Amino acid sequence: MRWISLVGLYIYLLSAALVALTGQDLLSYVLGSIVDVAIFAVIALSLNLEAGIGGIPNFGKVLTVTAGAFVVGGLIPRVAMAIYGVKGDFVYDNPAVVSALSQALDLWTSAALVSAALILSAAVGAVLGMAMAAPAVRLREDYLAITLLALGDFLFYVGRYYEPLVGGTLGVSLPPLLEKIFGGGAARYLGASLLTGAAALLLYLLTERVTSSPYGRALRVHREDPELVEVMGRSATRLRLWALAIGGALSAVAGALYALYVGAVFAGSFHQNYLHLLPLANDDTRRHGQQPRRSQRRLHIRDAP
Amino acid sequence: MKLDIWVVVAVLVVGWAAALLFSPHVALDGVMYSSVLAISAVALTMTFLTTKVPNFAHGAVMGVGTLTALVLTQRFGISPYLSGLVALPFSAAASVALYYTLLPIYRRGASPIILMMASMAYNVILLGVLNAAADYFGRSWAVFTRGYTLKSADFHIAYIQGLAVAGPLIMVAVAFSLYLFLYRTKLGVALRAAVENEELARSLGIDVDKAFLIAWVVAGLLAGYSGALFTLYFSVEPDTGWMMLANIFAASIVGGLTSVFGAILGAYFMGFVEVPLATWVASAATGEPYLVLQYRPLLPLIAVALSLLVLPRGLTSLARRK
Repeated sequence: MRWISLVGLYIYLLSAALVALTGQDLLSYVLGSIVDVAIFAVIALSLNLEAGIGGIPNFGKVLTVTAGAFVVGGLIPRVAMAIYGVKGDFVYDNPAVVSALSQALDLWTSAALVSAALILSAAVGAVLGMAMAAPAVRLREDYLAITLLALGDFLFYVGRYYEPLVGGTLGVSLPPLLEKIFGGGAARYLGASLLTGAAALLLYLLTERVTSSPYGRALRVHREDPELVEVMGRSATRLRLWALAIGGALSAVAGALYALYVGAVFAGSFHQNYLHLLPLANDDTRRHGQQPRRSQRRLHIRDAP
Repeated sequence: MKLDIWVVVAVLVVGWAAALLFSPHVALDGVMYSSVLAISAVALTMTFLTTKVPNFAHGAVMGVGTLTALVLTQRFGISPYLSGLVALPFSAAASVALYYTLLPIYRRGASPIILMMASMAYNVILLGVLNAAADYFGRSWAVFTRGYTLKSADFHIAYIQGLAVAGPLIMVAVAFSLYLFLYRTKLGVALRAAVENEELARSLGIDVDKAFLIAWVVAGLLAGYSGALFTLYFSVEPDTGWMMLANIFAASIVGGLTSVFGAILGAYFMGFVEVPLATWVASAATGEPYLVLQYRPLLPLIAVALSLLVLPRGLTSLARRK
């Protein structure tokens, strides 16, 4: 690994030094960035599985991330309300409901709710990923990218204009699930970074297993040439379907972790900003440990005078 | 069933005529919107035709026109139609700068997705510059640069807002001059040849890079002017073009992404769907149409997905299928 490739890390260390030197809270800065990095690492993992290994440019990544966050913001607090019999409307009486829930919640119920949130968001993400495979059946490359990019904003608009879901333009606060598990203050940061870090590590090991399985190898073949997969006797359509389902589940978990960490869900924060898609432009993402893509090889030949 | 393009055109004409008869206010709103959308979609299509990049910085180039029109009209009291003209050199320059940013990547034979990402990066930079400029001019010249409309600066012909008349006229002028340029000048023919088959055009001695540069200049001019015209339609800010990008892409894609005149048809189709048709359907379905109409931004997204899935070559492909 060349030293220049860690330039992001150097800049981060400089910023951490700056935080320490100006006498601000270094601990929560570092723990907070662990959470951020872990969440974006999970999103990057799912992008790598779809685009890097499967060759499907999923420009609608934000859709499944939003779905995970909306599960945490729209569903889990209502389940908690049902468990404790809290009266009122979660969106319109948000502060009152959250305060009632924060008095009622205990450690084990919170832990159960957090696990339920992660599992449910993975399921919803997988279903949405499968739905996104529908355009991937017929379209390739740039047309597919435009379609998925357009669909990516779908849930943002629904969340923004359908107030009962996650509070429309005002958003909702969540009951303090992480505080009930880990405690407040610095302990919450520590717990959040442990939770997201552990989740990221687990999901990384899981995707490694998937990519080294026969399915993962078939997915690599799909990236090189979808027709070759059919020749091998596997259905390219089903391969794409599962790649997008797994990727959708992963990114939805990332969205759920993000919402749990922030402690609020606001639809406006899930509008495309495209910066999370930058890994797609990186050639390394696109041929993760592989030969150059066939198309690139062809171009090298053509470019030769 | 074989659907001919002229059937689509006829249905569209009847639809617009019916809209003008039954609810002139909504229909004129739609005409204004469609005309500006058409100019913008033509520009987007020209960039896609030449460099094969879905240009995500198109909205930011429009923003140059939007900001210039906002600032100059408020500061000097000139008509937005004029201040839009002042914006043209700037928007063309922004477009050319993007062209030269993309050119080395395009020459390397990178996939359209890499080019698309590059245009997204340029978009982020240009939007940053525009917003900084908007803050600067907003403070130092005491003008509104966000959430402001120049509707009041438009002229009126007997209660009809000027843009409803001027918009289609400008659109027709643009279409006619593009037709003259593309089919009646040597450079335009060379450009069409380069779009059709780049390698062959090169071997015939056509300066493809120059032809593409001209296309990007024209795209920058049209994008800038459409951005300026949007100030007459609703409340705008420098980011408005970027916010409208899905709508512009929808118009361009419904038109087939491969034909400049298809983009105009696509824009009037999308404008009809988004304004008169959506309003009718919403009022027919519910007593509170505005509760449904706020989901209007979803329409272009659905149109893009549907059109690419059902008719990937757009409406213009219907004409060729015979």
